[in-house]
Amino acid sequence: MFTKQPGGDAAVTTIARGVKVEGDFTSQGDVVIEGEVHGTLSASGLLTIGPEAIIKADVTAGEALVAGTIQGNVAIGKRIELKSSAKVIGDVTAEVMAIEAGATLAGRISVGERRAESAERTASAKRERGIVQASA
Amino acid sequence: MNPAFAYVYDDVLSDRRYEREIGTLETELARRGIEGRVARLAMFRNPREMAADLMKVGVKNVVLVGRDQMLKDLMAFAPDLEVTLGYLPIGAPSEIAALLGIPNGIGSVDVLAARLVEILDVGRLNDRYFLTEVVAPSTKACVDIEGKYRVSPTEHGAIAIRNLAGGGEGSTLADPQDGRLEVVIQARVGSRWWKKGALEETRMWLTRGAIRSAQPIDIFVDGEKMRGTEFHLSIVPKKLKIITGRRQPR
Repeated sequence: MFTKQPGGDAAVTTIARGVKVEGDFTSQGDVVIEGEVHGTLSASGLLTIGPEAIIKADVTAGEALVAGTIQGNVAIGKRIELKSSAKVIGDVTAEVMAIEAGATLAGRISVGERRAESAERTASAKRERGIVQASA
Repeated sequence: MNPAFAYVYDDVLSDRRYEREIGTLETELARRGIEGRVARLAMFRNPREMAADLMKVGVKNVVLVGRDQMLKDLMAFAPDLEVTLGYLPIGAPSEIAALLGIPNGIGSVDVLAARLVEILDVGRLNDRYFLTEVVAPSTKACVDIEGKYRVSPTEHGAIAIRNLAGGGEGSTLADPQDGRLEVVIQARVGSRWWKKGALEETRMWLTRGAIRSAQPIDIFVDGEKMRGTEFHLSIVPKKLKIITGRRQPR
């Protein structure tokens, strides 16, 4: 009777404007953030950070599209794209990185397959720790 | 009379204006061979005892006849009964029936006769079950999710914890078979004295959590008002056996 929603279990988690998240946020799937996140942020899928989003957290994700502000280190398994409105204060690790003209980045950049593998391992370990903590 | 079926009538159906509709319904149930015992809810009759009595005489299907509020009221204990629930909505347009794929009025007998049984999750708030949703209409309370992080509107916003619910236009159906509760926070952003801001919607999921507020707040659990500062939430997967219809694809 109940039809599955598009994307099924991987339905998109959305943190909209006017909402603040504090603590260790983890998600098994895609995440869209337009609001605020303080703490740590981990997503196994595509992480989209909107232009008005403010992230004060270390970030790990499979892929990322950033148009907002991040204060913290960013570890991405595959590709990260910084849009022109993006402002990142922290180190960035990814396999592939694209930066639009106008984006701000203050930190070290590590790009390449090995770097990304290492970032992905770190992200997986963090996610697993999160799952173990959640089920304990 | 079919001994496996019992029908519990909403107290509003004792009003004479429902006589004809009830008569038609009972005739249709008899025609299909699924007529059964009839019990009527009344102000001084304990519905839990009534249900227990019906089970003692071998009833396997308890069919609620009436309004959504009656179904919500009985939900406080119905998931613990070892029966299959049915629902014949009469007396008011039924939101729950629509979500379950059950037409209003006499058409609902077709669904009952087909006896398509589904097992749904139910939510739990403190020590009571809920079928549809928990709503805090306007609050700065926070939702603690899995004990790992907290989500709160920066200004006042509406918080809904949904199990079986449709959120109206543009919103999705909360799936009561996915083993989790959906958290929806609606906050108005950018309001000024001369204009209302845009309504923004946050969506995430939990299996256990809590709503916490520094000040006592009103919340509505399946429509019933409760007041407090802390409400514990969890999902009880595959708890409620209910007869449903085939929902039209949206």
